[in-house]
Amino acid sequence: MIRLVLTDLRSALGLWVATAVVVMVAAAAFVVPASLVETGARLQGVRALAVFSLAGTTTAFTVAAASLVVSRAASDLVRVRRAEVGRWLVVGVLPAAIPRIVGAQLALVSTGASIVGAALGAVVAPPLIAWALATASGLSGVRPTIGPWAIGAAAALTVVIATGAGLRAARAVASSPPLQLLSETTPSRARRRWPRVVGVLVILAVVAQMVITLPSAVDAGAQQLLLIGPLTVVCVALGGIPILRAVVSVTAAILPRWSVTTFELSRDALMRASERLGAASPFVVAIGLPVAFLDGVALSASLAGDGVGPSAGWPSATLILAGPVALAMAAGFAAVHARRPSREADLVVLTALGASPRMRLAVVVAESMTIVLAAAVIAALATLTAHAAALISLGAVAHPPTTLDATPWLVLTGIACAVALLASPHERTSPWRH
Amino acid sequence: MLLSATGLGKEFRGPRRGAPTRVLRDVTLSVAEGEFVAVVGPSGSGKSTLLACLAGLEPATSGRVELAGIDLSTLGLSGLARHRRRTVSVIFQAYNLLPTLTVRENVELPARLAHRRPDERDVMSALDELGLLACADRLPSELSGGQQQRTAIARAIVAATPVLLADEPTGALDQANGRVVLERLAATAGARRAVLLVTHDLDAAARCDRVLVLRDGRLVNELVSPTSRQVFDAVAATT
Repeated sequence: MIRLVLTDLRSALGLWVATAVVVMVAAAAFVVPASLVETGARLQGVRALAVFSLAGTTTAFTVAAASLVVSRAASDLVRVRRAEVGRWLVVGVLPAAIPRIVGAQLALVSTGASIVGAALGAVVAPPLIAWALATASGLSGVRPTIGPWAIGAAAALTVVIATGAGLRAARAVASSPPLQLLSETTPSRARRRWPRVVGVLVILAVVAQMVITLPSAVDAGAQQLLLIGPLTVVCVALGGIPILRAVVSVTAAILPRWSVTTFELSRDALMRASERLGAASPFVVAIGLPVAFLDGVALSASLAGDGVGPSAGWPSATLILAGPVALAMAAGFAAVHARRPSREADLVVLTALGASPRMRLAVVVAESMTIVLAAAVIAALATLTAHAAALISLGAVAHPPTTLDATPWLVLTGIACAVALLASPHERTSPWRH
Repeated sequence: MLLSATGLGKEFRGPRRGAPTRVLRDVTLSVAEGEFVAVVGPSGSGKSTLLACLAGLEPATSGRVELAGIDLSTLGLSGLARHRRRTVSVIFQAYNLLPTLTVRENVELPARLAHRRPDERDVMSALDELGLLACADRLPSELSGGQQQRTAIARAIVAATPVLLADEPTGALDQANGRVVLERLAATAGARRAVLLVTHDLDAAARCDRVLVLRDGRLVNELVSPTSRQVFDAVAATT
């Protein structure tokens, strides 16, 4: 059994590395709120309360994002490898052993990755926190503390989340008929609607509460002005599946056709390819959070200039959002990477049918652009919606939507990253080996 | 000759260190326009690897492969892709359909990759002949193994390239459909194309103009218009 655990890890190394990256980023992100809690515990009075308040908000965002992302990465890892599990079952591995094997693998990989991630977090978090606290009134000069407790807690929590999600997915796969698992297609994720619905409703309620109380909160710093947009983006990413499909479909339809190089021939096929990649939602969050946040900063500054509201504490808001953005980016990469073997198989078949290397690259770019542009469009729409809601609430309707300058470089970054992941050399593979 | 190999050899190096595995040894063959040729042999004799090298999808370790008179080793990546697109269609044993394309789109794909508008009549005729009209708008995941294999066959037939290579095209088919496919392949050869078929089906091999027998990577026998019995005896003699 140990040999099976280890040889399987080696054979699917790329997938495990992608999962490890997500776990690492999650552990690093967890160090920030853990450190804030430790720092607050050292302080007293109003300063302690302020730091604990920031810790609470950061923890809420980070735990929510990390739980979603790490769980998804771990369960995707198992889903994508269902054929392998099917082979284990047909040769005689007991169904009850599958969760043990997968659990052992996840525990091994996530422990190593979370230790590395927490160590990285210990390096990155102090200057980030110190910078955020320096601009908060009454907190400049507070030195953030990161002790072994913070690092250990961050790592342990990440391991628990990853292993738990993987075990759930492994039990579900192990109870499936082996021959069904051996069929080539990976099933679409079973849409468990109620957690999404609950999540969307909770976020909508929070956003509504923020919008309604915005006028009275302006004097207190209006930090919520910076969070309304990002929360709306998360809401759309979580619950806006129909919106996502529609936008991906439109994006695929308007992409320029370089003769036959968009090999998937049709808007529908490009959309199917994007759905297979499953990376649109994470990229919506990864692109949308900074765009919405920067829009909030600009809006806040603009309103302050008109005397309607102050310049909000955007360093502390950055602290709150840095973890979720990093996690969303990691999730997007992991989602693309997890489906890379099947994409490589498609590209190999294209080559066998006569596609030139340039054509293959164009295909990869077309698919990447479909995902990233769709994500950027949704992010922009969510941002503008939040922007408008805030303006109406404040009665400051004279302000047009502020610039979305961040969008182009974010889109380019996303495309570059997606292309780097999707592009693969064909010399190593043959259609006879797929 | 539309397809020829001279002294073809192929070795594979595995992921672990050690001597390379020699799969093909000094294979020399040719297939002319209008010929329908089968390659038979025991499992592991190198049939699929031979097909891969003849299709230009695996580089030969030694020897030459010529497709429509062009030595494949003289072409770069792009040139090879273009030449292959114009010259050869392959029916893979594992079908290798693109999962995000419908049956119709899969069949049209080679024409589109060659910057040609697919002939709607040819496409529909091939789908009809192979019993796929009703599934033309379905995805491969919604098809049975036999339907997927017939889609792969339709794709190769519609591509209308001078050379057609088929790796176990009737493996997943019942007798009736298998017969239809073989008749279609024979008709394809009759339409001035070169068709090379790798098969375990001795009756299928017996329908061919010539049968080449492979053992341990070498061509050990060649039969002209053989009967099934003769093919069986030739293969049995290799084991």
